[in-house]
Amino acid sequence: MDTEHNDLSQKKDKSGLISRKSFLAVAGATGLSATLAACGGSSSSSGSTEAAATTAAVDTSTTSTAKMGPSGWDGAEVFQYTADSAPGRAIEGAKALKASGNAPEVLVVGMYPGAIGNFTEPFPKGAKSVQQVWEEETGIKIKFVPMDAGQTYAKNMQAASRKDGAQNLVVLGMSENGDLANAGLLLDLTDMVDKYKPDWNDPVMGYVGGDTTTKLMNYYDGKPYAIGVDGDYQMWISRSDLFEDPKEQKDFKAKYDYDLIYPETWDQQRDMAEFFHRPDQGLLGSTDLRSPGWGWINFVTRYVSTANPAQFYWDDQMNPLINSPEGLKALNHLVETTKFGSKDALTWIWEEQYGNWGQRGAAMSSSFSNLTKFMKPGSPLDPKDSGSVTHGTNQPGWMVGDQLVRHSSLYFNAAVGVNAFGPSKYHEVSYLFGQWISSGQIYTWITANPGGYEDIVKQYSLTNPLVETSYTKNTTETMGQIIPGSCPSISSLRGAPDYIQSLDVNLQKALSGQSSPQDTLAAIESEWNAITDKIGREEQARIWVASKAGWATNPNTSA
Amino acid sequence: MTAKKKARIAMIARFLIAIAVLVVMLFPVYWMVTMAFKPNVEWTPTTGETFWIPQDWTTANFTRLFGIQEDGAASFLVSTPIDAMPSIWHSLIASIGGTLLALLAGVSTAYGISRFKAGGGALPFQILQLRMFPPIAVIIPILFLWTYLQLFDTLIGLILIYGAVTFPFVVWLMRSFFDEIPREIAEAAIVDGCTPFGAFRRAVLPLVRGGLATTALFVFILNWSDFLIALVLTDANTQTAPVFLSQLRTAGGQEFGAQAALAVILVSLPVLISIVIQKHLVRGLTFGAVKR
Amino acid sequence: MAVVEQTKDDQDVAPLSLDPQAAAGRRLGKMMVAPGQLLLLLLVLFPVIMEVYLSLTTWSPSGGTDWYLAYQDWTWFSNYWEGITSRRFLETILRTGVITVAAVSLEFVLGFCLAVLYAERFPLKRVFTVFMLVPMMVVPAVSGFVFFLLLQSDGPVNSILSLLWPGGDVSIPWLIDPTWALISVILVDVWQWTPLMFLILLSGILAVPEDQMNAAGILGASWRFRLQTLVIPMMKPIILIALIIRSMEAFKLFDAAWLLTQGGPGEASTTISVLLYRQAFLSSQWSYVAALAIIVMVAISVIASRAIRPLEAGQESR
Repeated sequence: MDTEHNDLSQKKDKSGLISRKSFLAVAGATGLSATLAACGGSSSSSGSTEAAATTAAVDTSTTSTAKMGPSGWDGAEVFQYTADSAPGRAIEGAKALKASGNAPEVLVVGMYPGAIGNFTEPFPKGAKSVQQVWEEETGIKIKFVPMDAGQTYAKNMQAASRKDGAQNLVVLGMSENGDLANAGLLLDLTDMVDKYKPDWNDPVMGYVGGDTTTKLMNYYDGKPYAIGVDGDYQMWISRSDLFEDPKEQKDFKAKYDYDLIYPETWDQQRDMAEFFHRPDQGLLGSTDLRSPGWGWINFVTRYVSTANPAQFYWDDQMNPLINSPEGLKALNHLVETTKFGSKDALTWIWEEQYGNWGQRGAAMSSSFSNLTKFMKPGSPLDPKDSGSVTHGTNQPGWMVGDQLVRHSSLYFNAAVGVNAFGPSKYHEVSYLFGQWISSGQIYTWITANPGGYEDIVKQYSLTNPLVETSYTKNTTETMGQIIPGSCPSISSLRGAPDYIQSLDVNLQKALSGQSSPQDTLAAIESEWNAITDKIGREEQARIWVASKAGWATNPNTSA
Repeated sequence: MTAKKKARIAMIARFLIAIAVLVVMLFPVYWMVTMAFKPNVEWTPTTGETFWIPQDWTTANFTRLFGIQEDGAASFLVSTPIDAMPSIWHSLIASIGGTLLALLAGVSTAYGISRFKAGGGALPFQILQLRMFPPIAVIIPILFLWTYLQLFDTLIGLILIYGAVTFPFVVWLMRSFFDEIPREIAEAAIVDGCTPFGAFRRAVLPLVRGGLATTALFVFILNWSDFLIALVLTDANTQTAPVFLSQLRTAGGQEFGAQAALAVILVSLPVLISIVIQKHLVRGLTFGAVKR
Repeated sequence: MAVVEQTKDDQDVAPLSLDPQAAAGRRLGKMMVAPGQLLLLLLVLFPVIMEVYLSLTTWSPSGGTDWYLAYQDWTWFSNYWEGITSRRFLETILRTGVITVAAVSLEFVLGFCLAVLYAERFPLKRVFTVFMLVPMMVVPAVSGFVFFLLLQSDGPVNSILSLLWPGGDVSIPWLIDPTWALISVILVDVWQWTPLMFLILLSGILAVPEDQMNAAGILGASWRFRLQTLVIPMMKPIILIALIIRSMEAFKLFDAAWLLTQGGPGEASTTISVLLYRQAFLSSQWSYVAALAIIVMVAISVIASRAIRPLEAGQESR
């Protein structure tokens, strides 16, 4: 458990006000802090002074003590902010732009249909919606355009080729940023980031895991092109009623000769999946997904932890490392453990997986953290109250020498980008909407909303009571461990969708017995090389090396 | 057994076989229709149970399509109200418009080919070639062309493209109907004082009414069901129903119930039309090959 | 003696004469096909030219340049070469061919049997005919997801089969096993389009002149004999057109293959359209797609033009 940010968060209580006072006490409202605030910027990783400096500067100006943000319910204060904060700067900036005629009447924002609810549904009772708060504070209306997640790449690419500026902000998955940046659709946000200082690296308000996560989510080729507003990290879940049951523990120990614990290695996971696989009793061992488009991440989670600190996809000259003993170990495990899931594992997507989990139909699985959001008593997805026996941990890992290496990973992951083909005078205000929704305060409010599936990714959310209620305390704690120790799936790279397709299709062949694991890895290697050569090996290698800034350097954040 | 009795038994046998075939063929349709009336718990995948008949009949899926939100029944998450009406409307206009366009251009061309062999002997095959290109590839140049002509995401644009891609069917079908009409009929009309076009309009066209009806239905179905073209050539302004249907998702997953409800609505229009023109249907499609 | 007048586009007009009526007719004919030719020009010529242009380059929108500047990435025929030598592409063409032949044959056989069934009277025939057509009126995107639900291992189809199969537990892996996935795709296409074949063939059967059928009947010919010697020969042209058109469409099959299995498992049910979709929509290999599409179009053209010859010959003799 990380102790780094605990001393700050311990000072929080429900209203959050007391914590601000303690910040002031810690930092001292001096000119030093004000200076730091002036030149600090969001990329400082020097801990508490940055946060303290921004709040310290609050005291010196009368207008900026005004609280902005949501209101209308008990506990709303935690989500409020002043003008001198990342969300505050966004609002003030947007207002200024509107006044000077550089903002449209309606800002058009693309968003996944399943996530629009996060912004448009009022939550909790008595509150306004996220959209309403923005519209009232800035006077700029928002129009969300539903963009089917499976179609965003195609639609965005088509929009890029046609120089379509209809949407001011586009929505994209993490694997698309390289291609879309190259296609000219995504605007380079460097200047605006410098000007408006988002809180991405802030230890309190920023992304969990700090700069590494910021680089993973927002950067391509060393520059910010998108703003991550999602946390699709894969959490391993196990059934506490089974794993903590004394009889099960006794039987397991008798059979496998070690204690039943929540799995820390993949070898253990395999044993436990076998042990709990009782289809005749309606219990599956492990239902982590294996279907096209959805299951490849479970290869990734087995692969990236085969080396210390992590196993990369390519070396620095862009030679694939996947056709290797490490790759084989991961693939063999993936193929072997498929039989401990559903017979339909190759067609199950997350809806089936969640449905089955809600029926207490599985002992273990790997899912987005929003599973715990949906498994609540009374929810049709949770008829057997599985939510109360869902225990989340980091993904299992591998012993590499003496070191246990455990990494989670993520895929999909919504981000918004400024459409470079939209009217240029609206670029800045578009960016500011992105800064605002990705801020600690607002994004925490967004992710707590059960109306959509935007997941936990910001530090501030980990200790927020509303988020804890929406998810579970176990989830917020676990995500706090998982995120800093995660490795990206294939992203921040040109041609990422191609590499992923090659991986996905070939994995399916291995899983359905059409190709041996060895042949599969060889096929992936050769296809990846072909893709790389088509793009340009040297350039690609350079960008790949730059993208490694998003990889965790700590082999095991669950230690 | 008398011959009459034999015939009777044969008829009953045909009836029974026809029913059996119908049951098998329509089972997926049955599934779709019942799913439209199932509450969320009954159509959510992997609850382990298959509901052959909806236990808790509900119209919530239908009302959900038109903005009315009934919590729990149709979808269990607080989700944004949606409205399928605009997309249905767009589909209607685009399909009807496209069908009319295809019919206008196609009937005219078919007659020209049939009566006068106009356009050269290769024209029919060239028209057929229009449909040989995999649509996925063709749609990209069309996308650029449409953007240039400012037809992207417009109803006119959809009507034009729908008319164009179904035009070959109209030509091939109507040509064969015209081929069945003896030349003498048109020639007689001309002798009576009609212009060639008048002969076409007054003498020949009424005779192919049945074939026209069948062709219109077939073309309408193709346009009404189109997914790929609308997916690429439309955006927020002119989204059609099939595209809207494919995107019916909440945070809780794909809304099979609402999708089924919309599917039922969508299928009922062609079914209605075919009931209206049923007596023309079977007489229709001989492609002119059989001489009367 | 009539002076023979021949202009380029009139070379096939049957009566060569200076008859003003015929001239007026030819004028009308030209006018009547004009809109169609315009449509062809706009919507076939331009796309084909653009696709050919792109196919000779390695342009991709992810490069950031406009498409008309694609000549900067000129590559002659490397895309074509890559396609022709690509095992994936060749296997996909073969697989699509197999699906097409299997599906269309099944549709034909079933459609024919049904047409024969419906050729004679039975109660409620009219109503049944309309209902028989419903499958082809279901939006393909919908039939895709309905069959996806029906063909799950523990889904309704397997449940029903379990009831009917002696010995109970049927659990066919419709969407999971490579071979069964292919069968599932064929199944959905057959379900969707047999009604069309049925309609066409029924019309054909019914169009055989009643008097000829009756005469043969009076002379003692059995139903089957009449079918063989009278009906089927007359229907040959219809059968041919129906097969050609349906085959062309089946070759482009997309919805069922994508929605059931995403072309899987792996590539077991990947049709040409699925392959192109992956390359054009989930990737941005637009110039490679253009080359593949042209190869496909040329292939279909060649086959179709061969197949259509007997028909055109029939047309000429009118």
